[in-house]
This record gives sequence, structure tokens and C-alpha cells, in this order.
Amino acid sequence: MKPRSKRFAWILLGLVGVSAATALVLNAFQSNLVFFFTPTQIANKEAPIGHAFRVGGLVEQGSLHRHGTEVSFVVSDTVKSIPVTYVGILPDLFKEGKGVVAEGQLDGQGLFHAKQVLAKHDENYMPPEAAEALKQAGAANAKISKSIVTESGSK
Amino acid sequence: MQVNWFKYAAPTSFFPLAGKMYPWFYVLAAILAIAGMYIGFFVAPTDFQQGEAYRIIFIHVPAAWMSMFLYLVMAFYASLGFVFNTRLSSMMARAIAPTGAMFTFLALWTGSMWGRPMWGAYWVWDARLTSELILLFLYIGFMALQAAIDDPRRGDKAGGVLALVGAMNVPIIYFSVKWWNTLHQGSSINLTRAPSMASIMVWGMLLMALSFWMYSIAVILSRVQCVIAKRERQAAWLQQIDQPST
Amino acid sequence: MHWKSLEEFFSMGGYAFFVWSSLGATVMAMGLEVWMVHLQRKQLKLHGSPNSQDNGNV
Repeated sequence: MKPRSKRFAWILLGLVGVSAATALVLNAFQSNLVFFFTPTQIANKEAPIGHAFRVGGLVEQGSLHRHGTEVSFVVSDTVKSIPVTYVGILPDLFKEGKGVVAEGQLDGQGLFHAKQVLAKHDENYMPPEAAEALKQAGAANAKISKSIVTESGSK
Repeated sequence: MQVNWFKYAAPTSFFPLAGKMYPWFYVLAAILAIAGMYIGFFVAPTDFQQGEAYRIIFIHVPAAWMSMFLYLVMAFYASLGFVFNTRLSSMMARAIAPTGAMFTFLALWTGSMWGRPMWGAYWVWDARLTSELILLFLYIGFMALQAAIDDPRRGDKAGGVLALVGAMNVPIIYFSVKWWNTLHQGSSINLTRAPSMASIMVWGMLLMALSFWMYSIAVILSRVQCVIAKRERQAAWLQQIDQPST
Repeated sequence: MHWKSLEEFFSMGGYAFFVWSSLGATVMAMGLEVWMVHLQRKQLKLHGSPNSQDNGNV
């Protein structure tokens, strides 16, 4: 074997080895790489209930209630939903109908006690006038909520 | 017709070429940055959801693109040097690493400055953010490895292996938002569909990306001259010690 | 032009700290990198001008 092809063989071997290792690591840590679970996944008992985990979805329209510093709202992926209660300050982008990720624990009654609430926004950027026009066309909500619901729901 | 492509593969003939070219890339970078910043900060409208905070995108996305792109270029050069034993390619890989690390740091920094007001957290351990942090460690590891090995050719070899293995992380960063549920949103610019962004915003972002690209070429060419000079002088100095009589 | 006044521009709709610290970090990081390469070139006595003696003869 010429030195050059020998080196090539070593690289190939290294690549194969590392790809295999990466694939294994990714597979093993799949559950940890998932940043949040959707209400459907939680209903299917895919989430580590009993431990702290994150639930993600859309804040259901009309579900947000404030009692002093305590807020309650419902996280939904349009199929299933989970009621959440939280004490603290909400991020600027937190709105009904928008994406949210809450970290905390599920109690026995199916109520999620959040310790942290993060807003999840989508990849659409446009001036307010354009958003208004889209909304009037009736397409806005479908388009905006698409990214969070379909992508996370399909897992 | 025979063109001698290998002429410029020799460090000593590439050296003057790099010296002639790099100032022009600085000029290009400055012009593009002025145009991009003007569009991004004066022409582009407010975003319907994020208000003015979204303007961080004009730095964040180009920096993140460059951090991934430069890693791939670095890994390409490093592996060329490893396989074909071409000295210049390994030197190019050495010259790229600090710039790549700088852009990775910027992507993380601007991302954290964007995440706090919009998401509600400076940092979360989601797949996109974590894999970008791993990229920073890979750049730092590459530089540390090369600096730790005194024999430059052996350093090139070791760096080549690390750069190539680490290249696997780049597609993970890019596709993380598709493969896993992440807090980080998906890409606004795709090859397969129209951008989900007002076109003036896209223009600002593309101009900034081009500017960062030209900046990278300028600073890398000017750094590779240092790498070449250092190595050639070291070789000349060794020769003098070996043959003191001549 | 998007802005009505200079104050409006600097306040960035209330996100001044986040927007300007992003821009500031970028300018500083790039400036630092260029300066470090410049120092290295000076130390190695490489000059920017392609006509200088040093450039061709290393």
C-alpha cells in the first residue's frame, strides 16, 4: 500500500468509527436532546412524568388568567392540551395564540406547575402592516402556528 | 493547454499574492457592511412580533452562517493537507481557525442578547444552542492542538484529523431545529422555499453575510502570510544551524 | 428612513441594551482580531504594501 492510500484508509476508518459513535450517542441521548414535549406526547406518556420536564405548544386563545402574580393558561398542540400554572414574570412575546415552552412538573391532577416560562417565536419576519394584511386574508394564524404544531406534533 | 495550478499551492509563491489581495477584501467588506447596516438599521421596517429587537438578526444570522461555513472550509483545507501533504492547505486551516472561533463566539453572544428579551432566557440547553457551543470548543481544541505540538507538520496532521471529525457537528447544528423540538425557531432562509421574511430584511441579512465573508477572506489572507513567514523562517533557521560552514 | 428622531433610533423600541451590545460585541471582536493580526505582522516585520522588500523574500 502506498503511504497516501494508507492515510486515506485511516481517515475512512476514523470517519466510520466516529459516525457510528455519533449515531449511538445521538440515539441514546435523543430524549435529552428534545427540548420540550408536546401535550400529545405527554398524553401518550412519552414525557418523563415525575421528573421536571418542559411542555411546548401554543397558548390557547382565551385561556390566560391572572390572579396577582399567579398566571394560569392552557398549552395546546391543537390535539391535546395541558393546563399550566405559573408565578412570575412572563417574557415579552408571551401571548395567547403564540408559542410557549414551560419548564416544571406535572401533578396528580394533570396540572403543570411551571418554574420557568419561555416564549417560542417562529421564523416569520415582516412589518406589522404585512402581518395585518395576512391576518385579514385569514391565512396568518395557519401560517404562523404551522411551524410549532406540525413540526413538534409529527415526532 | 497546461496551466500550472500548483504554482500557487507553494507557500512562497502564494505569499505575495495574498499580500496583494487582502487589502482589497477589507475594502469590499467595509462597503458591504455600510450597505448592510444601512438597510438593517435605517431602511428595514419594525417586525410585527419582536419590534426593534429583531434587528439583532442582521448580525446574528450572518455570524452563525460564517461560523459553520468557515469550519467546513477549514476542515476541507486541513484534510487536503493531510491526504496530499500540501503544506499551504494546512497553513490555510491554521489561519482560518481564529476567525471561525470569533464568528462562533459572536453567534452565541448575539443569540444570547436576542434570547433574553424574546424567549425570556440568555441561555437554554436546546439542541441548536448546544451544538453551536460544541463548535466553539472544536475551534478552540483545533487551535490548542496545533499550538501544543512543536513540530509544525505533525501539528498539521493532528489538526487535520480533529477538523475532519468535528465537521460532523456542522450538519447537526444546521438541521437541529428540524430534527428535534427546540426553542430555537427554524430557518427563515431556505433553498427549497421562499424566505419567510420581508424581502428588504433578507437583503440586509445577505449584504451583512457577504460583508462578513469578505472580512474573513481579508483577515485570513493576512494571517496566512504570518503563518507562512513564521514557518519558512523556522526552516531557514534550522538550515543555518545544520550547515554552519556554508 | 425608518426613524422619526435620534432618540427613537438609540432606544431601539426599548431593546437598546440588547441591540447595541450585540453590535458593540461585533465591532469589538472584529477590531480585536484585526489588531492582533496587525501586531503579529509587525512582529514578523511583514508590511502591508506588496512592493515592500519583505513580501517576496521570505
